[in-house]
Amino acid sequence: MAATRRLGKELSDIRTSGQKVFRDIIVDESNILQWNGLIVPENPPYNKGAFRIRIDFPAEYPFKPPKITFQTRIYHPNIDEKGQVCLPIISAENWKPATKTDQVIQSLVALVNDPEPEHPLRGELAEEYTKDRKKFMKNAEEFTKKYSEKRPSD
Amino acid sequence: MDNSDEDFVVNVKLSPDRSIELHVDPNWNVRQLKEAIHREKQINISSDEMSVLFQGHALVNTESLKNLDLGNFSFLHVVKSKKPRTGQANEVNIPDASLPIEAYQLSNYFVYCKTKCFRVCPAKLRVRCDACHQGTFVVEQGPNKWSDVLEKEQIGGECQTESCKGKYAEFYFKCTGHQTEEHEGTVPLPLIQRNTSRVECLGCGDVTKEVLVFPCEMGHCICLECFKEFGNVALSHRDFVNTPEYGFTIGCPNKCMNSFLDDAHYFRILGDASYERYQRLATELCILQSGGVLCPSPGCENAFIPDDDINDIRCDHCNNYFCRLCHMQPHQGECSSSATASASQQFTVDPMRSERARWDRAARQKILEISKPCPQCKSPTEKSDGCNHMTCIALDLRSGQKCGFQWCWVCVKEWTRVCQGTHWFPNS
Repeated sequence: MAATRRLGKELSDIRTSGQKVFRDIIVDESNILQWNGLIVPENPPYNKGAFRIRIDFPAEYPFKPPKITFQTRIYHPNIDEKGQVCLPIISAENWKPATKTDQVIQSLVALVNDPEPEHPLRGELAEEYTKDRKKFMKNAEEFTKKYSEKRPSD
Repeated sequence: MDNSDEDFVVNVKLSPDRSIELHVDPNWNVRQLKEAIHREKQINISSDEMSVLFQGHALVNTESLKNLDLGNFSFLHVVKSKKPRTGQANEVNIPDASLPIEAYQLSNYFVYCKTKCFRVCPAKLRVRCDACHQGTFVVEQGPNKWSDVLEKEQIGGECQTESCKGKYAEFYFKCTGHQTEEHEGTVPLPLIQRNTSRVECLGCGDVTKEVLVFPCEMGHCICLECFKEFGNVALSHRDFVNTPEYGFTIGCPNKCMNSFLDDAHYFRILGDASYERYQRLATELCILQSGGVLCPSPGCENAFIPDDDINDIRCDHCNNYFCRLCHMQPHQGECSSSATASASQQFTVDPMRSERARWDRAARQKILEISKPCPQCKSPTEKSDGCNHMTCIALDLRSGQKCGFQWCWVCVKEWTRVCQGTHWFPNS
């Protein structure tokens, strides 16, 4: 199966890269098709916490795209209450098998750091983000402090 | 052949209907081979007058056999030189750049062997006269490109069979995986190449010996194992498309422009069952384009051409009885276009579930609750990730291809920028 061979390499590449924005990757040895990891954003208001995500790879990976779900609640115009996110790089119509998971994660981190209110999943948050940035930042920071995970110390 | 020093056997053709098997030592040169043929005393040509033809040219006396691409049971052709010359003259009438050097190395050409090996095998390029089909042909120059080999009358030369006036070479490919008959040719797969640049497969990331290089500008490479998987995924998801130039095919997995595979033989690699499925889908499409129908019963999808003037149709495979226009049960008057009505017939969920749902009212109700109909084909669609931008993947039973309609989950209409704008502020 292409998925197993490919994901083994991708996982070890990401782990050895020592990147700080996506870390603490947990993969059950019996199922390499599901990854859990911690997103550590740099931009306010999300830089007050860390966010656990789950990446589900289909058995047909990389010929079909992975799916990403936030396990940690987040106050963000592009991530809905169920943790679902709309990321163009992994949509069925855009997906390319040559795209590496690392690129997908970088794209996700960029979206978390800089919301795109023009492609919202939560219209009310996009409206607040566009019309009253101060209020959005305050709400998002409070939400982050309340629900997000502790940031790793190093 | 491999680099062993063991004797091997060649077939020496003395005339179109007479050949002998000869044990040869790979350390011999061509002159020693000619002397051995002469010693067999079955031919009235002295070793000096003798031309040994292989791959479209006369072998040079000093050439060592082990440097030639002679496999076990390769065919050599012996003729008396048509234009007798003195000394070694007949051996230098081949231009230096006769065949490209690759022609001497195994594994630069590949075929799908469907007679014995049932897999992709390295192939040997062979040449014969296009008139008498004997290997007794001397080429004026070697082929330099695939079209020289694949198209007719590209490479000229002279047939050495006495009665034959053949002027053009005919190229063919032989599987090296098994012992082939003299004229047994196989269709070459030019996009499969030796991975000399050690490019990573775009699927698994491994560096394999052979790759399929898609005809896109980027030349994306996929290993044969991943190509099999990619093709099977594409069959299951109906990602094959009908193209005017190449028929029913797929392109580069990375969605590159102008990257379609130009020969259905590549789909043999997917395995027998998948190749049959490929042929069935291609036939279905052809039937639909000729005014036929696809049975809408889940799991049947039988394609057939009913009589022109009948709208109430019975599937000759599963006995399903349906209206040709709306695929519902036959009815009086015009077809109903409501989504609820077609929900019982078209499913985007998996076939097992839909099979049960046909009889299970609760399941059918559940589908209606969690799904929205595609605005174009009315297939119940479930939103499985965050995006509101939906692309319908349901099979359109009228065209045999995916519906492909792009629509917005929130307003259940075609996806537009304007539509996106209205969702930005839902309360406005």
